[in-house]
Amino acid sequence: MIKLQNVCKSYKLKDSKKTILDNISFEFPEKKNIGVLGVNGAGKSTLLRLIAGTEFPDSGKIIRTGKYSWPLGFSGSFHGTLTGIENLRFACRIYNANIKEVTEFVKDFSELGKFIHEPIQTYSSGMRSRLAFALSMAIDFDVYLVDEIMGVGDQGFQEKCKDAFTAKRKYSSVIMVSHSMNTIRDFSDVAILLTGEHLEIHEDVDKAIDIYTKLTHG
Amino acid sequence: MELIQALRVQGRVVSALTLRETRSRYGNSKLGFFWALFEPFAHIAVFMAIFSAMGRAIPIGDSMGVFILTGIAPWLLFSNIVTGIMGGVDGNRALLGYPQVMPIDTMISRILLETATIIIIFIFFVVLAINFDFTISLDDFLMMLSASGMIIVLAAGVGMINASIKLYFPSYATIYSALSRPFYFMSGIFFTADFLSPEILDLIDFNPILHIVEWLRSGFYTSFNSAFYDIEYVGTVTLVIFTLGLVAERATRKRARQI
Repeated sequence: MIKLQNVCKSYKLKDSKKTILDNISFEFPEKKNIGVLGVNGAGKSTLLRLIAGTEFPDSGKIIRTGKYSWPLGFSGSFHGTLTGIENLRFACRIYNANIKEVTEFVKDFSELGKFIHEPIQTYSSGMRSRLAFALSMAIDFDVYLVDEIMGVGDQGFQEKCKDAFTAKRKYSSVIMVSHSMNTIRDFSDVAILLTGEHLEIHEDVDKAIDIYTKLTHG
Repeated sequence: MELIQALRVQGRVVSALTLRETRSRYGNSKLGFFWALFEPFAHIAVFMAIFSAMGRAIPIGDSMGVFILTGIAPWLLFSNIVTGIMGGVDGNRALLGYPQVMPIDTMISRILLETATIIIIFIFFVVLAINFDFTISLDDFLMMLSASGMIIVLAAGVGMINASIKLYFPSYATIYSALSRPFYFMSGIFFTADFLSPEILDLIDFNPILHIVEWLRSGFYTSFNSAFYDIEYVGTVTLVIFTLGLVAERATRKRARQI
């Protein structure tokens, strides 16, 4: 369960304030895959970080139950000077996962080859997201928070991601932010539209995409 | 139950961070450990050279090196913990992307690493001194432990306050390093309090590090019991600074995550 209660969040810019959430109360539907749509700067990634708990609201409350992944994104939670394996071990330790099992899974899934022993700062963004994705699949979460990294890599890898999620569907769900409407269509049961003033939930994903497209084109 | 669960998670985070910090510093090259040994060695060597040139007598015991070691070890413990805490968040920035990793965890792991480093190095030099036939008989181990514990808590407090100020004024790190420099000469690293004239002592007896160094040496040396150090004073100052540090950390936690 994720429940926002009177949540406010804004960022200070040089001489103005950018409000992202203004006194929002909202309950996310449970056990549904949710696609988050919104124009650039509407605060999609911030919303994901608030849900994950890596950022705090300025005021208000966020109530969560269950096990959530860290926000899986390009910038990532990976430490640049540590190798892929070292980052993986760190994540295993803090999530209390079996290092050996996770390592085997990630080596196989990420297709990083010997790059897994290189520092993360030498990785391309595609490699980073492959590692992040594989690692998160190896650890069991109730909800996966995905920030844009779906739909990276070649066709083969994308298929693999899709299969992995389908396999997990029974126990886990996903909340994702993406600019690719195809990805949103493929993965989401419902869509949430961030308009800058409020959150709108749409049971009909295609309709939400229509509204979003109109917003961005005019 | 919730508290136990939270503590368990924090325990996992701190131990994972400590492991990663240790590996980064000592795992990848031998240079890290060499530097850790070289730093106190350089301080000791310089003072020994100056004092033998001046023909100054050893204040306590039969080894000038050991005397300076008992001053430089708590000093480095203090200053390395403070700078460690100040750099903790920056050094682990990306890892704060994991929701359970809190800024304070990076600080705790650095305190653990710096403390372990200094203890190992202290033991290394003491064993070295014994091999060179200097007499060393630890007088009161518990007293040394209390003094060390006090300086760790004091350093943690100063470090947390500094880290919070640094979030708002990044250039504060430079200012602090300039401000702290005089304390190197006021902390009894190369003298004892009774060596100073009462007028000078009056000027610097506010310095809690000087008290702690005297306290530690009183525990280390059988032949030395300082009348100068005041546990009540040091304890109060430490408690106030540590509390302020916790409050500052708490108040700036959100900002530490965002920058």
